[in-house]
Order: sequence, then structure tokens, then C-alpha cells
Amino acid sequence: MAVPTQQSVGLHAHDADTFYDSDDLSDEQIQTLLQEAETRIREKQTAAENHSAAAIRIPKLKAGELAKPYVTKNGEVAIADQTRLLDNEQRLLSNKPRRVEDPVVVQQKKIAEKKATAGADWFNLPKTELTPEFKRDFQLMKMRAALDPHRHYKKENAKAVPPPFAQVGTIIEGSTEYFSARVHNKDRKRTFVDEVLASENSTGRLKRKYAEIQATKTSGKKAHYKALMAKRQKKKW
Amino acid sequence: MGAKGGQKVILEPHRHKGVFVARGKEDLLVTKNISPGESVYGEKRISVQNSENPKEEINGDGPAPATTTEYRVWNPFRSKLAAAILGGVEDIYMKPGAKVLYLGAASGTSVSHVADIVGPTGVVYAVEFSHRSGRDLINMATRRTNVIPIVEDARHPLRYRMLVGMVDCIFADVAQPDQARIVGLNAHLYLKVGGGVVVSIKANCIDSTAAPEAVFAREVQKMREERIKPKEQLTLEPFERDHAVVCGVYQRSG
Repeated sequence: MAVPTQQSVGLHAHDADTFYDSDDLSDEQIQTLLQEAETRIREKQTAAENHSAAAIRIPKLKAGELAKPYVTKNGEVAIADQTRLLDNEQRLLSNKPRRVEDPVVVQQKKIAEKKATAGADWFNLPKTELTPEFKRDFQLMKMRAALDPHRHYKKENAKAVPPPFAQVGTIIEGSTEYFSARVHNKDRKRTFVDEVLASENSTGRLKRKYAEIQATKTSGKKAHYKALMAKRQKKKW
Repeated sequence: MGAKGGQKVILEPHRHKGVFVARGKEDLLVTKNISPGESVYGEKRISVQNSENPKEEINGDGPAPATTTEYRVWNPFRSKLAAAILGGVEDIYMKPGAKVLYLGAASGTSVSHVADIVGPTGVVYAVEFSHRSGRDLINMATRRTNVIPIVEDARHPLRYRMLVGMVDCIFADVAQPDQARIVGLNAHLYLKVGGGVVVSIKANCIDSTAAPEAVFAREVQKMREERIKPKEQLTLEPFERDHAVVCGVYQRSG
């Protein structure tokens, strides 16, 4: 408030109220004061109007941190961030040799695996290994009716082929069984044929049977006749 | 007589799944031993040496090593199921991976072979009432994790409902006059629809005065009333006297 009397009297600014309260105000002064008041009120009103408009204003949305670009520029040089270009899993995969799975090959492999064993229903019993020993064992097994006269078997097809899935096993006697229930260790053989031949060596049954059959079969034939003639000629002598 | 330890045999699959035949001077019915190196009741075993397989690699550690598998001889004179198989039964309803409820497990000699048939993926719930036999059964089950021994009365199937789930097959060898009823009770509770029922009937235990054939016919009729459709019946003649095995299929209706 620039009033000339104020400075002349030497009053302080905070004493202004007391200064206005005094009756000795000129008309001009009152006029200026009123004008000032009017401008103040007007300012206040416009401010209030502005404020009401600001209350409706929608607050700013927080977008958070923006993703950093993969490529950053350092002066004139553009640099790509290698670690972010490829995630770790993919990188590991790319370092390994790729395995190509051809569905046809996979299917063939599956079929081959299936054929290699008797399947889960027989606990994957493997395919028969057709070794010469196995073939001979199987052949003798077909003719086992000839081995023991006291044992009788169901008739078997002489043309039977070896089973597609089979293995050769060794019998283990029960722990409570007597000595008669096992073959002595030194008498054990590698194959079924060997076992039969070993028992043949001790009994000689097969050889005897063969001779008997030959005797009947060859009687009346050439060899038989010659032997007979030789005998007769001997008698003449 | 009989097969001796140390003899060689040829092992091949039987018509029934999970069962094998060992052929030497005589043919033997065998099952694959689920706990190799042990026999349950002093039966003979057959060990098979699997050759080293150079084609098959295990995790890149070179060829698969040579292993042994073992089979156990199944005596038809001691097991009615084995006798039925040798008698030529059409279907035993047990195969690897199946769940079997075995009523009348006794000491677990037959149960051990059934456990061999169903293999590690299957389960055998073996029910036996007698404590004396049950003790042997539990002993056997300690070495076979797929056997669940239950020492309870099969007449009260609800008593073991917490142990038994849905089963594919019920085998019953309980030798009681009310055998058909016992089988029916268990079938209604635990057997799946279309599941198999194999019942061994001892004519003497059901009615000792009537003719065996009449007893068998009556039992089959009782099974029919329990919604079990009989499929076949065979006597266990060379192995057991006056015994019959009846196989059937459980039906929900009709």
C-alpha cells in the first residue's frame, strides 16, 4: 500500500489495520480501496471457477517403467543386448545337436521293439536266439517221447517250429529238497542234448534200441541174405 | 523222478498272460518270480541268464549288462488255479497289471504265484480268516509288495473296505457251505462290472452227502442269482478229487 502519509508518519506495515480504522480517509483513498476489493473478489471468483474445473480432472495414469529396447545406441554405434535377444532355455537347446524325429522311423523302431519281446503281458520275454545249440535242443525236445519208455507225452507236431519267444533256463532245486532232487555239480551239462547224451553213455539204451530196430528192419534184405549165405558156406566146409 | 536241479529247460510263454511253460524232459507251469533268489514254499526255481545286449544302450553307459531272471515252478497238486490252467480253462481273468481279490488265501502259496502273474503293476488283496495261516501269508507278503494281506472274515467284506479298491477279478477258494454268498457279497462291493470270478468248489465242503455234480450245479445256480454269469466249469480231476472250478463274469443287470 503506497500511501504517502504512511512513510511520512513512519508507521510499520503491520500497523496498517489501525491505520485504516482511522476516520481520516479521503474519498479517493476509499475509492481505490473499493476498487482493489472488487478486483480481489473477482479474482477469487475466477479462481473458484477454475478450481471446480480442476476437481473433475482425471489423474494421470502411471504407465510404469517402459520396456527397454533390445538395441541401444551408443554414439554412432548400435549395440544389441545378447542376453535379452534369446531366453536361456532356447540358448541351451541351440547349443545341443538337434534331434530329428521322423515319424516313420519312430514308428518302425516301435514296431521293431515290439517284435523283439513277447510284450508286457509276458514280462518282455525276449525273442528266441536261434543258436545251433537251441535248434538241437528243440529238435530233441520234439522227440523226447523216445527218451524214456515210462514217460508219456502229449502227441507233438513233428514239424513244429521253435517258439518265437523263448529262453533257456536252468532248474534250481528247492533248499529243502534231498540230494536226489539235483544233479551233481560235475555232472551238469550246458544243453539239453548234452544231458541226454550223458545219460545215454551210462545206459546205452538208445544204441541198443537202434540195433534192435536195425535187426528187424534189415532181416530179409541184402546184407541179411549175404550173412546167411556166408554162414551156410562155412557149414559146408 | 521229476525235474532235477541243474537240468536245462526251454522257457516259453503260456496261452494265459503272465504265465510261462518250462519244457524239458517234462513240462512245468511257471511264473516269473517277483522277488528273485527266493522260493516261497520250497518250490523249484528256474534261472535264466539274459545275454549282454550290445544293441541296447542304457543312458550312453555302454551296452546293457547281462542279467538273470527267475521263474518259479507252479505245482498243480498244490494250487487249484494251476490245476485249472493245466485243465485248459479258457480265461483266468488275471494278467499283468490286474487287481485281484483272493478269498481264502491260506498260507499264500498260490497267492505268491498270482502276485507273480499280476506283476509289480498289479495288486493282490489276499483275504484269510485263520490267524495261523495269516501269519505265513503276512510273511510271504513282506517280500512281495504287490500283495496286501488281510486277516479278516470274507463274510464281512465291509471290514476291509478301507484296504480294498475296485478289482478286476475275484478268486475264491474258501471251501465253505455259503461260498456263493461270500463271493456275491464281495463281488457286489469290490468287483467291477464285467470283472471275472473264478471259484474253486470242493463238493465235500458244501454238501458231503449229495453227488458232486449236483453240488456243482447248485453252486452255479447260486452264482447266477448273485448276478455272476457262469462261463465255464471244469473238474480238477487228475489233481484233485471232486473239485470243480467255475469261471464267470459279473454283471450289473440282467
